[in-house]
Amino acid sequence: MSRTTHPKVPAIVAWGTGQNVNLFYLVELSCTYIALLILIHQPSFRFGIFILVLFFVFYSPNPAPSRPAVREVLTEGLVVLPNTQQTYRFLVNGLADRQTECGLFQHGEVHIQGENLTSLKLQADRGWISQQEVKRFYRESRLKARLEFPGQFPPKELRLVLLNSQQDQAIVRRGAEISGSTIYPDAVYLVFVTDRCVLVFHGRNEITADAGS
Amino acid sequence: MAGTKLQQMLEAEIKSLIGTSMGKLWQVASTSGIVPFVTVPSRDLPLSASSPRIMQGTVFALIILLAAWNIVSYLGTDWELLFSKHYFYLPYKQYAGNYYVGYAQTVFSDGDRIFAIHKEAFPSLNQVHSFLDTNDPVYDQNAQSVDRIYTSGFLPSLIARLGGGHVGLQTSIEVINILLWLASILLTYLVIRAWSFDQLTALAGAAIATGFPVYSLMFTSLKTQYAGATLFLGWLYIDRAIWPRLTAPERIVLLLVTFTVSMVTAGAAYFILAYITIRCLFMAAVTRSIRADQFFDLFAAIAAFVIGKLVNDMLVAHYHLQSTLTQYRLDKTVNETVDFILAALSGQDTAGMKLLNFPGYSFFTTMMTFVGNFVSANPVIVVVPLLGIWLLRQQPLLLILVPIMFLLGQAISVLYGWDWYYAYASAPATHILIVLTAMAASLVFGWWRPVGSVLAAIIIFGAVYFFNADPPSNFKNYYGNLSIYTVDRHLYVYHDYDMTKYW
Repeated sequence: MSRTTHPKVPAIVAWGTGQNVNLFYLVELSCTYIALLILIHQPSFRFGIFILVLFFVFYSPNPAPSRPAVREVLTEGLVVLPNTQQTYRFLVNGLADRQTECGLFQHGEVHIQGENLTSLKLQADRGWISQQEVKRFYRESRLKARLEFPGQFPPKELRLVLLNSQQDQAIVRRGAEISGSTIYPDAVYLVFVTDRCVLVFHGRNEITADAGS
Repeated sequence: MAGTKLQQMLEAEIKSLIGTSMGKLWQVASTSGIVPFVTVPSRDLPLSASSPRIMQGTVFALIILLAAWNIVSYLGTDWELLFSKHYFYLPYKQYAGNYYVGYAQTVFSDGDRIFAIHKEAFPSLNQVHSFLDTNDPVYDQNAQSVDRIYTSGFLPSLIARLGGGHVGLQTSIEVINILLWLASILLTYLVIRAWSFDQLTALAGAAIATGFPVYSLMFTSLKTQYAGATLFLGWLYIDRAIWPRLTAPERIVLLLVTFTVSMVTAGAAYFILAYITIRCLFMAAVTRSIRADQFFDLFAAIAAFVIGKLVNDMLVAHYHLQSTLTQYRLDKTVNETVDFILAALSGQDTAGMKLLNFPGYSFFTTMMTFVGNFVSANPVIVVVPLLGIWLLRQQPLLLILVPIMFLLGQAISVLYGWDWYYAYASAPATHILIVLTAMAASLVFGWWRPVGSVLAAIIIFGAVYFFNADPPSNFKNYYGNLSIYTVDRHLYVYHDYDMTKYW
């Protein structure tokens, strides 16, 4: 250590000249540098580290790499007002495509997360909804219902209607479920389970999807 | 030839047991300045005697293959975001209101791309950005990110500088993840070499470490929680290989700077202090001649830890930051625990009381569950050192460290009162077990040839197999090992015409 510049010198010079006054950064860098000087004795390595530290002390990219921009904050839920409905469209062709590999998908489950979901009544255009139940989870509730298909083969497309037939508003939780350039914000999805596979389908609210397109 | 070798080895073992004093025996394992690492003779095992270059080359090729396998298997999926996804219905209160889409409720954009980031991970991007500021910046006050700011903020800022502004914040953290993974492989090699085992044994240990999923599952994470274990592993090497040759002032300075940075590296300072304490007490207990040295080391370590913490506390206060640790009342936990023990000893009812922040006796049942998760991650690296404890008797320090580091790693659960198992909390203990497994395999090879050579190969490949065979099972095991993670069947997730197969 004695034959090289004092390890704190680069940081002190940077601080003194105002080139870098980020104290936290300089302390972490100096500590790392001192540790490396104690651990590494080869002069060539020490010189290389010294040059690197000089670079790290005095250089910072300008402009600095940017933080990702916030495109959408989805903390508020989707409100389903009394006597209104929301329709979700699911493309479920995967059920037929995966039948050989996974087995027959005779039934699945509809899942909805949100608040006050007991006021919702579900309807499917190409399936039967039954065993609708709501479980509370802190201030949240989770709605689960059984979905069966009338025919031998599952449909390729399904529309699910959430009808609020009561006087209280229901809220469907929203979040940043993303695929490619599309957001699937509403916590409304289908799950199909066999002995070999789990298939999850995300649907899109028809109004939101239309507005988006 | 082989018989003569074995006979020589047996004689050496008998001599070491009978003909030498206990002090001499332990001196071989000494980490003090009296027996420098370089003078400890390497074990001349038959493993390294038979076609060493071919065998070393084979194991090195295995490491390359395993590294490639891990990159292919894990890179590209944000496992941390995935584990909290709604497909798994996480039954934890922390996820209330956030569990749809995996603990993220903001859509970010980066040019044309849109994406989500785990809520706890985003502050790391702010920290890297602040470290790049040459003025006095504002750091993100997210408490959890402060406790690991060195590896998820400071080090990535160096990568971003080297990239000249062309490397994004997220990418710079991912580069650090990869570098820390490679460092853990190299350090495993160096630790085994520093403990006087041959190159092949060290390579075998490195091969096991390559697949340690706590690193591969975190390739795309922004939180670097495992980094505390990596620094601890680094200290194991430093303590054995470099510490003996350092002067007293160098030791003190090294301790000071190490504790200052490791105080904000996911608990590394606590792991390192625990190691130094155990090492000093153990060596002082078994070797009278180096007792003064050991107490000096221990005193210096404790003093450096306190000063490092003060320096760090001042820095944190200067930037109006808060550590997670300040949010939890350790004194309250201690008082409650003492009350619990006193009540239990005097035969009183302990209902409604807490032992180590867990209600009733649930601390023990929770820890048993954690041990189960720990063992099931890789039974080979647990069972082999346990069965080979006689072979490994010259490594008592490492053997003692395993349970201590395991429990210390779980201390975060005690502080929080969580019954949630995170594998990275067990990572320091796992690192030691990897080292011990490679050592045990090497010793088995030397003791019972030719059966030993087959057994050693089975041990190494068994340990490698459990880490690498089934990435989805690792995913399940490393995030709580809960039945909600249905990794026993394929998972397909559909978004209209787009489909993602996770496993």
